[in-house]
Amino acid sequence: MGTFLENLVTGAALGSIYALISIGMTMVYGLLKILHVAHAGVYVFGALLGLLAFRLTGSILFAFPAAVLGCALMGYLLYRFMYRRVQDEKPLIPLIVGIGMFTAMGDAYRLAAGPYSISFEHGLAQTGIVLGTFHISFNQVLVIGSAAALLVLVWLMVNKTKTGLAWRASAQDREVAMGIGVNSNYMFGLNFMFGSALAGIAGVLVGLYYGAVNANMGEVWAYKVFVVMVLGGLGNVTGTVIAAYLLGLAETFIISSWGYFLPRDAIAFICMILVLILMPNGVMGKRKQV
Amino acid sequence: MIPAYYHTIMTFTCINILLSLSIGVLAGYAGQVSLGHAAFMAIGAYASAMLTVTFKVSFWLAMPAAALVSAMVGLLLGVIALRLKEDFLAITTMGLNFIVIGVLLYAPYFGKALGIGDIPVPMLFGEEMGRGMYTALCLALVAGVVAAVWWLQRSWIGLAWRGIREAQDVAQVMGVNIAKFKIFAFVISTAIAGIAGSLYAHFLLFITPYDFGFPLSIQILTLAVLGGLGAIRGPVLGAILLTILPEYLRFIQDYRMLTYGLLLVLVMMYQPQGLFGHKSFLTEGLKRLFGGEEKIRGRAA
Repeated sequence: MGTFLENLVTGAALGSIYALISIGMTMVYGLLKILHVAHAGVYVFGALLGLLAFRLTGSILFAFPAAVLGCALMGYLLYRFMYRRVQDEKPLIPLIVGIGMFTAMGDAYRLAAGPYSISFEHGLAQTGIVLGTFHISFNQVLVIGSAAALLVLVWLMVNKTKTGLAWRASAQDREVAMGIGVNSNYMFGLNFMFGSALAGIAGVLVGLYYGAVNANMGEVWAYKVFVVMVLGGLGNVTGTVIAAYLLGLAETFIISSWGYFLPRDAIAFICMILVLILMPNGVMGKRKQV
Repeated sequence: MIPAYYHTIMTFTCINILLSLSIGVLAGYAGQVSLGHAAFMAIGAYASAMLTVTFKVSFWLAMPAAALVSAMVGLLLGVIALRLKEDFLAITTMGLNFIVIGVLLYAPYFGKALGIGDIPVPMLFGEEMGRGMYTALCLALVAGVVAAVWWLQRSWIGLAWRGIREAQDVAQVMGVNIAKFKIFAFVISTAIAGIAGSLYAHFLLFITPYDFGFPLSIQILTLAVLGGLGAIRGPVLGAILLTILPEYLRFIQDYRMLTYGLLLVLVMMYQPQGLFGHKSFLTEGLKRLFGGEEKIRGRAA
């Protein structure tokens, strides 16, 4: 029983991280039909900025705003100077541009931060809640709690604000939305900033959760986000969040029961290819909603 | 006597030209982009290495067999590709790269993380091939593949591929069997990648799964994209440029992935037809320099 609950919590924490990283990419796909690979680069940027802020100030409270601001800016710049130029080309062109940018970013981080893991320890990591044999660490509470709060924020932003309305309108039909006065390019920029800020927070959370930050920590996530997106039905935010938690839980339970028979990412990609072939609209079966 | 160093560079240039052409056939002619071509190189390399090491088959049989095995996996991917469009095909091929590496790493049969060592040097007339002979073999294969691709491109198969790339629906209405030609493009392309893998294995004599990871797929794509998809000229010149240039600009070695990444971004944004493609600033400039249309031969298909 203890193991089951612990797997549940570990899986939920993993799922929370998947969800926070995937939301930005899913929203971009919903709006622009672009697979935004460089998003994983933004997430690593957030982790590194958070670490830098933490090292400079000595408090994790400063890590989050630093990551949010830095990543929002980076997201905006990526859109303004890169994707905006290619957003109306064939979908492959923004995809390859994004992969190129992500590759370059990964190497730039390696040159700046070195190829090794850098410790990101904060004092609270060892504390936690213990109930008999069942143990939740502070980090798990932090990750699951902040993810839940941020997901509520995303829901409010998409469904209850004018900006969210403009996003949904642009996602359904960009030209009509522009016709009734939505400044699409501005909205897309805002969307990139919002999604990137979430990725930045996810970066800091991952750094705290694993106690280390690594210049190539984006490698696995970059491509796993595709899996989450495809499982969730492309561009569908709710579906993506559900898929993220499902993937996190499934991975944790499969690995604790059967161990690794293939590397994690290979399993995830096999799932993705099967879903793409058999259920192209995602497990949730809905389409084109933000 | 040419120093061994130049043999190495020439051999790698040949291998890269083959890989680049392989992307060129798939993406340039048939309009299907693969982000996982390192997987097919891995399949070719492993097939060839295992046949010669475990089953003591001669290299001259193992290499065609490697191309065949790679092409069979390519056939499977081609069938899958029929259901996927553009960017989703791309991420599927990317996933395939991760899956192939995962299988090679975890299945007990393939030597796991240690890979396969002691791959024999190919024999020619009863003795081991020298470096020079091996380079000559690579050059001959490049010439053969270029000739074959050139012939394919001029034939009605090339016409059908271009039709699929430009307007699939129209091609279908005109009576082109889309499924058949798409799969055929995958088979040809992956067979070429398999040959490149076999040449790689018998040159380095030692392979591990890590040699064929996703970064290599990106590098292969960069070769073809930089040169310009769609013509033989583009992928070949792109591969030559990106293999030889870093040798002379040694300081680039440490920033290799940075350079490749930025090249992909810049070329895709500002010269999507590549440096040597149709109407690129380089070919236009050369035309202006030498004057006259007819000086530039073999223009982009």
